[in-house]
Amino acid sequence: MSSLDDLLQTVRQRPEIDWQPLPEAWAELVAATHVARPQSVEALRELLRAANERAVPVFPVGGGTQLDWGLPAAREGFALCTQSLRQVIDYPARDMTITVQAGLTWAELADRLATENQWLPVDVPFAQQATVAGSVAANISGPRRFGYGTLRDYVIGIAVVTPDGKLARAGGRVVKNVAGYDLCKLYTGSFGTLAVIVELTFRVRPRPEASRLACVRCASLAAADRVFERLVRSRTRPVAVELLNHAGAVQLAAPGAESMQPTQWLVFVGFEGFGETVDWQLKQLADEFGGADGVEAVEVVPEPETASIWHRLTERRFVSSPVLFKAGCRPSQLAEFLDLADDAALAVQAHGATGIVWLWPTDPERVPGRDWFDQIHGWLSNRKGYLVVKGARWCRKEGVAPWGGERPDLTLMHRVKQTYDPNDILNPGRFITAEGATHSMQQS
Amino acid sequence: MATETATKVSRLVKRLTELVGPDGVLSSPVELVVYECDGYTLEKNRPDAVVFPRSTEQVRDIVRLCNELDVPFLPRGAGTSLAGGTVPVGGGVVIEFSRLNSILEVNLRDRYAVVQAGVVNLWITNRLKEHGYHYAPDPSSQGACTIGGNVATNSGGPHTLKYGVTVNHVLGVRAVLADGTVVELGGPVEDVPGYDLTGLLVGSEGTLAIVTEATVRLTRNPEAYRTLLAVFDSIDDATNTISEIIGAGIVPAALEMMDRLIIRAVEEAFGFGFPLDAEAVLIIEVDGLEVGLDREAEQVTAICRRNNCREVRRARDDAERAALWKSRKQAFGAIGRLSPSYCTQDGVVPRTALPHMLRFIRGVSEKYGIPIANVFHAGDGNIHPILLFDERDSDQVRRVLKASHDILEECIRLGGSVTGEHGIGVEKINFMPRLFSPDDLAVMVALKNLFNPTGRLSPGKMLPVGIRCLEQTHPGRKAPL
Ligand SMILES: Cc1cc2nc3c(=O)[nH]c(=O)nc-3n(C[C@H](O)[C@H](O)[C@H](O)COP(=O)(O)OP(=O)(O)OC[C@H]3O[C@@H](n4cnc5c(N)ncnc54)[C@H](O)[C@@H]3O)c2cc1C
Repeated sequence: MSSLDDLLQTVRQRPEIDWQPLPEAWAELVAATHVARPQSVEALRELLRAANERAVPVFPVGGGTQLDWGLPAAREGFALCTQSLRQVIDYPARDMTITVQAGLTWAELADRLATENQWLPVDVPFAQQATVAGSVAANISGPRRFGYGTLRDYVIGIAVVTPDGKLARAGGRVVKNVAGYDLCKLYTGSFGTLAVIVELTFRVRPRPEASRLACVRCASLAAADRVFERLVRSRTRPVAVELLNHAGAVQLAAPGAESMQPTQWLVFVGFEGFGETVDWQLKQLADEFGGADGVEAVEVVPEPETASIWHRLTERRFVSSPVLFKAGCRPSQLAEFLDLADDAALAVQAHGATGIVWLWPTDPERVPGRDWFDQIHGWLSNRKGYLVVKGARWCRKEGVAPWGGERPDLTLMHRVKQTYDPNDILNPGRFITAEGATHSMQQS
Repeated sequence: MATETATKVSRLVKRLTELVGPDGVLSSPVELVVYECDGYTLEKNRPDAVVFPRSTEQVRDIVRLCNELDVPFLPRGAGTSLAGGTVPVGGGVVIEFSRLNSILEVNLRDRYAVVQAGVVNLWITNRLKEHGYHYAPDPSSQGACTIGGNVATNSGGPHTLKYGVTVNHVLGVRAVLADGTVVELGGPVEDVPGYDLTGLLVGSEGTLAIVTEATVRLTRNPEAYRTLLAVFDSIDDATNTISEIIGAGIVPAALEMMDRLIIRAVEEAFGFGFPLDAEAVLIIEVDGLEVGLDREAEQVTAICRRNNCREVRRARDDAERAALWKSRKQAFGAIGRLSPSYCTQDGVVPRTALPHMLRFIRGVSEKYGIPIANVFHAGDGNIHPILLFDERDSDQVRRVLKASHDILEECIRLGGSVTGEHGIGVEKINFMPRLFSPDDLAVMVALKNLFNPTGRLSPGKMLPVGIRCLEQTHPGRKAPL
């Protein structure tokens, strides 16, 4: 009997664990035929301990919206879904913190915060499905990261279950706290490879009174780059600066995209805060950039369309493409990078002011291959940037390592993984792997 | 025994001198006295030597030497720690950072700077003055404390209420690990794939690695400020105001409180013009674009008024604003006027619990007959009760320790923490098992064992393991282990 079968026989009878066949959409993305949904943290602990004792791989899953980061494991195990753990544990709104269980969806969290006119200003796509813990594990961010930071800036307390079944907490429920190691940082962005997150405490913020977008139409990439350069010194203080190429604008159905020239670029600039402050900035932006060299127009997105554009800037890039590339460089390197990477068949959306770029093919006939990847990856790596891939199937087909090549700091990361997951059961192979093992960071 | 130790020490000093030259090592007992403790004076221990490296490579070589000779070592910045973070438990080598003090790179377009660990916090902001940028974390000690110390303790300051603490502004570090390996983690490019080891090192109190360089985020200066001084006749009114401002969804840039005792000391020292008969004042700053700022200031003022505020003054100009902040940030320095010794506590409570907490502190003060002054980061719920006493009177010392203990226990009971920014150090190590379960601690210990397996790097700090806990009954020299 395989260790997986042995495990299933042992824990399957437990009423607090709901076993189901793996949803079709997750097939190929996790090496499992079944998904377990523990109904309590205790049951989750027991399940993990049992898997660890038998070295059976466990694939932690939330809403399943970010499963094609990295490669699925070669060894078969089971998916462990947190969706049944979805309570709001404590919401002292006047302290501006909230403590929730892992499987609450991002939309449920947002709805709850909205009742107190609060929010967590991180843009999470597929918010109806994405869970809070999954979003933290995948370190999701979007346009507003420029103005508000990323999840690492909002997670102030965490509880995880380690492979050997320990329930371990770090941080706390108050907004300022330096007692003990800040393991919140370690688990944020760790893609479920170190422990299973079961509870999170966030600091939250008051919702801004107004939120608006303006669109700066640029004749060329060079002109867009000049806009960026000047935005850094502008009197306005945007919370988001998004750059789209022609294909990107078409994919997002941005206003006026159809009439755009292929050489044109759009820069969406977001402002949030008091109504009068936002209005002043929209006008100021027009004053500063209207008529600037290479700027064809500065248009305010009409109020009724604003929410929809924010939504598309958060959401659209994840839709329907078999592969999505994420690149990182310094903002000042962005134009040079895009000049190199740009291709009519690639849509580009960049969180311009932070140097993070998303690229995805718009034409199934013209999907870039390994040569393109290697060239761009090499250029970025030489400049301490990176290129990573969301798209396990594409990676396998092209023989590309989804997380890029070797880096000196990986040695230490392997050792962290080995310390916390010595049997390599948590998402083995997906992200950082235990020392010595073949791992998906390595160029294959 | 004694001679054997002496021989070992002189061998250590000779080898250190070979690495950094004779002007880079201190070893005479008189010179070492300074390095027995830091801003927390209730625990002391003398190191065997202090060494002043000039480069990351020298730090690496010193670390390798200490490992070879099996002596403990620890980094030290300006020594302003208030938790005994720099006490050389077990003696050994103090690695002092004052010569690693260059700002290596400033990049405004990409909003970052690379600085060596010995750079003083305020130097970065001073360097950026004409450019309209600053380094946001602003501990009150910013004129003295170093970036290395800030990274180690994840320092905060008055303006971290809006702008975040050190970890929100550190993008990467260069560090020497406990075995002498040099690593580079993170950097100016955001979201570098892999674990966030930079975030993990921030706040690790020098127990995981020695930071030699940091890449820090630069923040644009706000266009305008409104700096308000609200005067209260009762502490309750002041603390209720704090809760109400936060509860109303206003995020001031800073929200600080000072009570009567502190007001008196600060007024004597700086003559700002604080009302001496007030029970408490709040310094409330809102900042941002000029447009809309008056509305925010008015919202704040209205809340103060609703809570029986006696008056709200507004800083007329930059000079007055600067004078007000100077009074606040140097308040600790003024305490010498009140008492020969003092112990600054650091705890955190949910902000709605501040009215209760301040009443509790007053009760503790009465119970133990120890005057307690309060000056703190009110908007974060981060209290700093300052216990005034005379170090030479052992009974007072005993009462100070008990009073501190009661206050911190109450913070825990309210769901808060025993440290918001000063760290655990040696001072609060016995509180760790009160805040965390054995399983929580086991996960932290595993990390420490990975990074610092021999425990030679800064022993006796933060985690109650391996080395015995220091007993907090008697201040004074601890024998080397
Ligand atoms: C008057 C006064 C006011 C203060 N106000 C504040 C405040 O508002 N907010 C706040 O957060 N703190 C405050 N503090 C506490 C203190 O200033 C901070 O903790 C500061 O970060 C310490 O910096 P330092 O350079 O003095 O470090 P040190 O005191 O020398 O060291 C502190 C800790 O950091 C470690 N360390 C030092 N350098 C390194 C390095 N290069 N690599 C790794 N570890 C290192 C040390 O081993 C030690 O554990 C105040 C202190 C005083 C005396």
